Amino acid sequence: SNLAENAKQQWLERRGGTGRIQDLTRILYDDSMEPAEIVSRWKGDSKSEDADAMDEDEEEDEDDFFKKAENQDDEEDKTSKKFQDRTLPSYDMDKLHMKWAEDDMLEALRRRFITADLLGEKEE
Amino acid sequence: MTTPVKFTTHANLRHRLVLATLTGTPLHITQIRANSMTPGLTSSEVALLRLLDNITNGSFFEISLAGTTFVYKPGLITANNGKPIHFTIPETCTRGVTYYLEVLALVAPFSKAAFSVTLDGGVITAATEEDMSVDTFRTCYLALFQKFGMERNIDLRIVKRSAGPHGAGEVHFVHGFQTRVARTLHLQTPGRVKRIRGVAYGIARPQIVPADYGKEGALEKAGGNNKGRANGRTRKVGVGFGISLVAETGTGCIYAADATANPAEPAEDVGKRCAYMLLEEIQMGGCVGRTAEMAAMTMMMMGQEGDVGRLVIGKETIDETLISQLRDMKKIIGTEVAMKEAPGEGNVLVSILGRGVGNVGRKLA
Repeated sequence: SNLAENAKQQWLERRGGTGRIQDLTRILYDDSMEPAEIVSRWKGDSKSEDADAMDEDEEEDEDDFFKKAENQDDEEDKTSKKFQDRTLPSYDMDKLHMKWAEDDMLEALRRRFITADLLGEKEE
Repeated sequence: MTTPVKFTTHANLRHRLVLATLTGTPLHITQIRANSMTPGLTSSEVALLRLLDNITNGSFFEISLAGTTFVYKPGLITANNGKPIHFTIPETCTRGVTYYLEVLALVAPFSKAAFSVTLDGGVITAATEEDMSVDTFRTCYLALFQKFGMERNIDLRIVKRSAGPHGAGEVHFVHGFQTRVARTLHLQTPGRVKRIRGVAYGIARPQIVPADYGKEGALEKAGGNNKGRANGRTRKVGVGFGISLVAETGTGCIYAADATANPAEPAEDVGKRCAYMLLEEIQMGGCVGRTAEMAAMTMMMMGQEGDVGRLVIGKETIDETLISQLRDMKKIIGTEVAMKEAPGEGNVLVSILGRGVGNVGRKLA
């Protein structure tokens, strides 16, 4: 049972997005924030906060008069979902390969399958 | 007429068009790829507008010269009064055919008459980078509508398959289940995966017909280098292969993944890629996979007025696209969704109030 406990712990850790849903509903319809901003703020992602700080630094360095226009070409800016109109989610395949090549991850996911042995575990 | 709702850029364009068509709200969209090297609407987007014009009566479109701005006043969804519609997608369109089919599937239940639409021309039935394959559309997207009580007379026939980037396929979409409002949805138990199924497809075509061999041979005899002259009619179009995987849980929730082979990609890698995507979707959890999530929420808003539908989604599926789409719904329909933690790790319960705006055509009948 210790093993299962560990797997569960790992599972929770790797899921990312520690944000509580109440925090999201409070800012969901706040039009002063862009959707991308909402997500990063909600998830409390330290990485994106750093990125934000960097952006600000850059902007200070730049000339105020010349602002680089936002690029709306889908092909050139794959990282931003802002201008997309797609159905299939975009995946970072390298990350997925790394993630699902690990047995731990597969073992943790086993609980989502009907074949899993849930004896001793409570299921909702 | 009500004042148009204003949007900028081509983001979530289809979803906005669907919402506008369903509720009869005029749209005014500006700055479409205004800073792009290829400004304005793409040919796929223009084709979609033309298709919308075909299935409605009295729609009004006004597209600016550069295509960066347009006004859309939706008409009544009549589907040509039940008569078959034949629509040819220009060959320059690079989006998969499900790009159009998704819009049709969302609009069709609220039509005055039954849908029967044949799409040909630049039809790509395989999955593209952005759009699912027709197989996923059938097994995942259309299956969703059963949960809203729409089961009968809905079918997608794949007449001719084709892969990208330039399609040459043909599909026939039939939707004969017209309703006034969608049934209120209560989907709160994701359950555990009991079955994984899939469709693997391959499209091959003869590269050169024998007659052309003869012609080429003759030209060669006549002297000069004529290699490759025999293209034209026999050019290689729509060749490729891919796989669509669908996982179903004990409670009937569906997750899907799609992969089409990149040039020179071995089949094993395509399969592996698709499997990993499916695992990712299963891990994210919820009662609908990401491919059908927005469709489910949109249909919930079309439910009986005053009834609250409930849907459990995976917390990780909440991204900026979903948030901006929820905001669009508020802007056009005027409903906010409520969210709270649901039992089970990473589950979120979304409650959506039905608006009962439903089917204008049926209301009169």
